[in-house]
Amino acid sequence: MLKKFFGFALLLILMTSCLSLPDNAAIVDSMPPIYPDYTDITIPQNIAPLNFLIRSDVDETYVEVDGVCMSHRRGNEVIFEIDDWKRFISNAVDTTLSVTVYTRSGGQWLKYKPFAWNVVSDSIDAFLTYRLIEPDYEIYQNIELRERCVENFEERNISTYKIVGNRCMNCHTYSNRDANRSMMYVRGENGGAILNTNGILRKLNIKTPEMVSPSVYFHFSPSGQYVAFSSNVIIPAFHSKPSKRLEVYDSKSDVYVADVEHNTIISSPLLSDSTTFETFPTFSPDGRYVYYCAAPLVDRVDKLQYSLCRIAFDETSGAFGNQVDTVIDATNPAIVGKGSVCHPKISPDGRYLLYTVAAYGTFPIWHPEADLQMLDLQIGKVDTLSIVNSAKSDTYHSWSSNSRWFVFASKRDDGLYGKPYFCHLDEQGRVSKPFVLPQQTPTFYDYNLKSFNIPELGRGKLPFTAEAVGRAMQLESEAFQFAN
Amino acid sequence: MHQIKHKSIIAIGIVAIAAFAFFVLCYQYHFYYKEQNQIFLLTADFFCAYTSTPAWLANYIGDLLTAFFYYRYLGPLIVAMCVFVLGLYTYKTLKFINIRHIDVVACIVAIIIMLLECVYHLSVTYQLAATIGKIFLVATIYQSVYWYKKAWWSSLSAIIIFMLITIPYGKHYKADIKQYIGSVRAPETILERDFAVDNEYYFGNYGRVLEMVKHTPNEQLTQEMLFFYYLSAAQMGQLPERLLDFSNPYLGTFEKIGPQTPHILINNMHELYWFIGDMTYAERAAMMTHVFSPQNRNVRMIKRMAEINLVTADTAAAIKYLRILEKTPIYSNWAKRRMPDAQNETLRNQIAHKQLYINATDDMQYGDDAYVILTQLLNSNPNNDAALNYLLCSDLLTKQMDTFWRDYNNYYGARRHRKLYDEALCIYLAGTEASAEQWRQADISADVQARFDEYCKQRGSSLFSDTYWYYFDTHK
Repeated sequence: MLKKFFGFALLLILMTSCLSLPDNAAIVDSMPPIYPDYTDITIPQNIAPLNFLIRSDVDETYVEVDGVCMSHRRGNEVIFEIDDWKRFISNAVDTTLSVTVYTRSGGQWLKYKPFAWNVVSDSIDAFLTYRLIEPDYEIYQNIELRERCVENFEERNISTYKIVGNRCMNCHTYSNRDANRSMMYVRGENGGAILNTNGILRKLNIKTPEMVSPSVYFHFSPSGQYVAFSSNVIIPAFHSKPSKRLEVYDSKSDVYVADVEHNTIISSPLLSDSTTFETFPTFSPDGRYVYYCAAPLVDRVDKLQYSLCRIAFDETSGAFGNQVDTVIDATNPAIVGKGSVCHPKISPDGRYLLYTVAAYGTFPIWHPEADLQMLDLQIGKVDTLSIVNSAKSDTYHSWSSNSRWFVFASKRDDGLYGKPYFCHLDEQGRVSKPFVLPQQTPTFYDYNLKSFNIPELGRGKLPFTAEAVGRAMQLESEAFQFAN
Repeated sequence: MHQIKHKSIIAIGIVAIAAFAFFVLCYQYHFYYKEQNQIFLLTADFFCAYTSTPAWLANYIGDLLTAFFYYRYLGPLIVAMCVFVLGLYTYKTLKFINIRHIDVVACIVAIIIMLLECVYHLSVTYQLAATIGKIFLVATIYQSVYWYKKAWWSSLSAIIIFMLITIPYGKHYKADIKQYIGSVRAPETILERDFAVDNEYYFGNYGRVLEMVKHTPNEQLTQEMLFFYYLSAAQMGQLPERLLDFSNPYLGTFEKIGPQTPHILINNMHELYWFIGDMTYAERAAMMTHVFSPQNRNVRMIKRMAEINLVTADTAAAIKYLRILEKTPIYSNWAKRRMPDAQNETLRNQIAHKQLYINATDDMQYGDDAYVILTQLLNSNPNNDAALNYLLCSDLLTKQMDTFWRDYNNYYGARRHRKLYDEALCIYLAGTEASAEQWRQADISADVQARFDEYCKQRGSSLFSDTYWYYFDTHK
């Protein structure tokens, strides 16, 4: 840390010496060429500084926010001092800030059209977990799960290959965005699901011999006692057309619920039908339903169309209902418009159901056409979220506790590397233009060669360390069996 | 005394020169491999990222210098110079010890350390950063002893600071420490030859690859050497003519890449897919090589992925990689020239030519089945000679004559006749008891037909060892 500080201090001194002021700037009738695109966005009051860079050859930048100079540096990077930023943003809650960018090339200053930052009082959950992995998901090497505080730039490993070895690790998921209850998978020999309860870690083997695989996609019930999960046999395949690249699909999949207090698994014939693929289960915030996606078996992957279904679940008795409701029928193009529904996630207030639609299949992260859509569960209306979606894949979403924000992974920049984008939703359900997770160094995403996979928002800092996960890996796995 | 000192320094210098000569003559391709298996960026962020890792200064300098291994002879020169500095500091440090004949003893110890360091560099995993770290260490000891009499605390703090920035520490860096220490091992001569053919191919010296492999004793031939031999031959349009140059031809078309595949094999496959025009599998193989490289960094693969995305017109993805390469000390101009708005006509033509051969239709593939890959490419573009020759030669290596006949008829068209394929046609036609009309339609050259008649009389004779008939009959 000390070394970093001195390094930055030295750079800062070098870069801020002999700066000039943007007098007589020529007016440019366009937005500044900034990256990441932070123009005209809505931001939470607790977000870290939105550092960015100018995508052109400039010698100096000068940035005014509501007429106040917030950054003045040599080079093309705009970096805000975090204390100044926090002070400024906290005084600007529920107002719209005007950001004006000046750049100097040679002796000439340019003044670009200002853009807006709408600062809202709706805070976003302060922590974000994600997996860093190369975009070719069929293989892995040196995987890490990380936790980042979105209010600043602090990031740490919550599981790393350096401790648990070179294993596949899957998404980390909170129960109700609560840091004191969460789970993640560390696979491989002696692997298992690592369940965190107030920082105490257990290793679970959520599988019975009858199941086709251990749990893959999972989601906690509101109480945290139950985990709805899918058991999938996953097949990777490749498209001969290079623009489509990778395809991943299930050849078998069923849905179950695990009681992690009593180490039992609850099944229903309606969710392990051999003629249907069932996957992506998620509890409704009241715990009364398990939503999931289901598709009939077909002979071709590109005909795999998943509908959104739900089945009742009683948390008290731990039993499924006897009837499946189809919420979004994949065969009804008027409703979905694209084909296959994936990754349903309901807002904590129970109002909206956010999901991904792709042309087909269950792996939207490699489908450029994959978009987010939002179903208003009160009035049954689908919002296609045109402001939110891009020409590349937009998926792997997660809600913030107050239901006013969601994060999702988008490949909009280069089609290869997923990045976490945040999107605001106001009280009327109107969404704003999303913005990418800010980084301390504006060029971070340019040189980063890992995908941010399955970003999940959480309210607090996780109460365990990567070392604790390493120790948990030494535990005997707790076995599960079907409930009577 | 002065005379002994000068002699000692000359001796240390001679060892360094000998090391340089050895590395140039016998080991230069290892340096290319090391250079390719990292990415070094000249950016402030990249520098800052190093500062939070153990032995950051040694690693930073080591990796920076390793980037220059790209240039022929510069790798050996840099390592030899580092070894020289290490030896010199060792000698000077030992000279502080006040015993008889210390000059000679110090010189001998310095030379032993230099030799050991050279031996460590024989390993493909040994990093230059380790040598840099040792130089720092010895230099620190030297300066500390030098300063000791003036202020003991300054020498102690010097030691601590230099140790912190140059030596790996921390409980999760056992692997780093192991690499730092190095191991004594024999020269990896076979691996050196593998790297040699790989890199001469990479630099476009196809004729040199053919020469190198041709002059390698049979018992030392590896799959990698044969792979690049045939790939070079194919680049020169000579694959069918050279297919039977070796008793165990290896095209690489039957390999399946997966987590268990040896790294060196994964390294090679992107070159084959790139050459035949399958950009999906070229990208996959390049990505895999990148993923399995140390620290998941491989500058050669970044270049390849940029090229692939330029060909597939995925401009945003290409720019992603080109931006990274722009910041490297070596490939900056290469990347700048390939930025979409900076490409010259020659480059645009090269890209357009490559685009002719990529798959136009979309089919799903469930593994790297070469037969499917090659036929898909040919279905998209029947003029893809590279894919065609690999397809037909692969058919012949597996002796699937029905498949060969079908592929030949489907794709070969009116191309000029090749001796190898004519010989194979003879086998198919003879084996199926083809009619005279079918023989006539096959239009096999009279020379081949006449020789085939001869062969049939002396089946299996080594007089015909240059023919496919001989391979067909004798190869298990």
